[in-house]
Amino acid sequence: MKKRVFITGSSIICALGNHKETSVEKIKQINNENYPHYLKENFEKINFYRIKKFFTTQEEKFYWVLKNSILDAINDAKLTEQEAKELHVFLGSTSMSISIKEEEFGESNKISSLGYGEIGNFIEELIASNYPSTIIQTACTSSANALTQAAELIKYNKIKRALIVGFEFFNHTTYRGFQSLLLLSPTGTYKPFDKNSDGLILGEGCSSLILDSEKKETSDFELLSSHTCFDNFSVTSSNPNGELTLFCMEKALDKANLSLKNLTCIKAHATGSENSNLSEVTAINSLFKKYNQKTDVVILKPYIGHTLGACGTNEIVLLCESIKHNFLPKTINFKEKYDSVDFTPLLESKMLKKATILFQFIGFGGSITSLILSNES
Amino acid sequence: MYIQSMFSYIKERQSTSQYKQLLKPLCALNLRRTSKFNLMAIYGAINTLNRLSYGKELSIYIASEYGCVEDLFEVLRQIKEEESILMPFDFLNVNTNNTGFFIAQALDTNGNNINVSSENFSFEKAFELAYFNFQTQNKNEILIGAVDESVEEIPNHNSIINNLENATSKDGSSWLYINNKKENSIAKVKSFNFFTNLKELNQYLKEIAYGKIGLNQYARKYQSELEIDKDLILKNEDNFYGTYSASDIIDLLNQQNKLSIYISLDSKKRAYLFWFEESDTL
Repeated sequence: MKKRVFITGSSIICALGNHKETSVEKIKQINNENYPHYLKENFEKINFYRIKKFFTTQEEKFYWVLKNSILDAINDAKLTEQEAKELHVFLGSTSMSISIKEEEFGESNKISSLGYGEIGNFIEELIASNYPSTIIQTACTSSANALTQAAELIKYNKIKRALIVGFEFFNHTTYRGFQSLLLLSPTGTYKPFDKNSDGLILGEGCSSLILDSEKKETSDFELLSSHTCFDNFSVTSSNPNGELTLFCMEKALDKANLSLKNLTCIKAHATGSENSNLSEVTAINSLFKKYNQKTDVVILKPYIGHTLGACGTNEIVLLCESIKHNFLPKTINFKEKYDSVDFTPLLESKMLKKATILFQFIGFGGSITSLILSNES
Repeated sequence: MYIQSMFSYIKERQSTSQYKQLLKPLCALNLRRTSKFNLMAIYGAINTLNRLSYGKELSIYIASEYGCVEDLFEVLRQIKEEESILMPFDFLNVNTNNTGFFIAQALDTNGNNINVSSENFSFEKAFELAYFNFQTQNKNEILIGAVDESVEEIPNHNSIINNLENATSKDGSSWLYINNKKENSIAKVKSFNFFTNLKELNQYLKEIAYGKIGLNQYARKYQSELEIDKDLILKNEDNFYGTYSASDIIDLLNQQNKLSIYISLDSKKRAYLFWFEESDTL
């Protein structure tokens, strides 16, 4: 018999704040008028959404953030020490610990380890886990895929409980890589799904989720379904026709036995880059047209930036926690929709206590992941 | 779950251009800017499926302990020179997220692909996900690869990898193509299990039959604690690379034993056990 899968604990450390309560409170406060001030507070020498805490080294930052995010999530789920040992660890990131390797190499022309196994080791030792970690790299869908893989194992009773960690830290390789791809916004303001969007802005963040087969609180979100597709159009861009993105969303709905009318909203990936925007709005518009039904579209990247492989768990935590605090967050800094579509993202926050959300993530290398979470009965 | 095809290419360090030459007759893709890691992966995948028919929705699992090494160091050198320009493909190659994309293009498939890593257990973890998905997700066929570059030219490389026996670190690309058809298969995967400690492993070993045993480097280190017949242990070939357990398994299956097992341990004595049955005996 298949088990159900719930998120029973979570945490996030990102540009909004070092705790999820702080982050959700900040989302409530940000609006179009004070958004430029919020960005100014965040951006230092470059346009990048930073975690606001001072660290002496990249290594110190990396492990402090990871440790605190994980322990916060474990506390949130009210796990005992024994239950924490039984967690199966799944990690998702694009750049892993490249920030540490850059720092080491910059100082000594050497690095202290190859690969990223040491990250898994650190976490296993932190929680005294009995199980070796699974590290997943599928670009921007990394932590979303880590979540879906772990959830399937719980569903089929292969494991009881899992810790999912999505993490992304500033590093020059990624920043300059996106610069060389001409994907960064020169104006430094996020304009999600806006006709005049001029690119994306990167951010750093770390979030942790505890998945369990039993819910702890009535407001816990359940993973109803997920689906992953592969788009072979291009390494760095999606097929402009959006067909596979549409297909992926439809499969997730199908697997959950839901239709569009059952959704409270779609959480769009909405990176801000032209190709990605156009492909995704086309897919969402096609979904609405095909079923003659619309739902709200929520976009979170203006709040924390594009956190690449960590955006899965980061955006899941932020949106689920917003719902638990009785609101669906508005989209910031949107002015003009594309001519070819009939919808705009949610522009005013909505009061609600429960929701069923389709989360959409799209990555370099063609990975597309759709998953549906709900805390409605 | 039947292993239909296996391929392993293990050599002392070769250059990117050597792999491009190897791929020229096999692959029409423009691979001019791609990394050595990707070239090794594509070469292994293509050779594994050579002359086989497979579905377009083939799922691909790529395991790696070290990731993309030579390009990583090249990028670190560029980053250190603040004024240097980082080229797009240099950045893309370092994150290994594009490996599955290029393999899928080379094989003309559109199934999902995923990169998996774990300290000492990268291949085992990739196999674990593939094994589970095969059983539960109606996946009829999977391709699992284990790819790692030689780190022999990195100064003091043994201080940054786990190389217990000071073996020569080689380039390696080892692959298994698995489907649900017994016909023409090499071996059946009878079971694949994880054990949190040696006591659990030893208990299970008492319950199964096997004629030949393969061990990873940690299993050889802790051999005295394994309750196995030492005379059945297969001597490992000189094939050390990051995800060498995949090539060890291929060597084991090439021995053509009715039943064989491969034991992977890590430094904490946690264990994965592969149990195979030769197809001719099924």
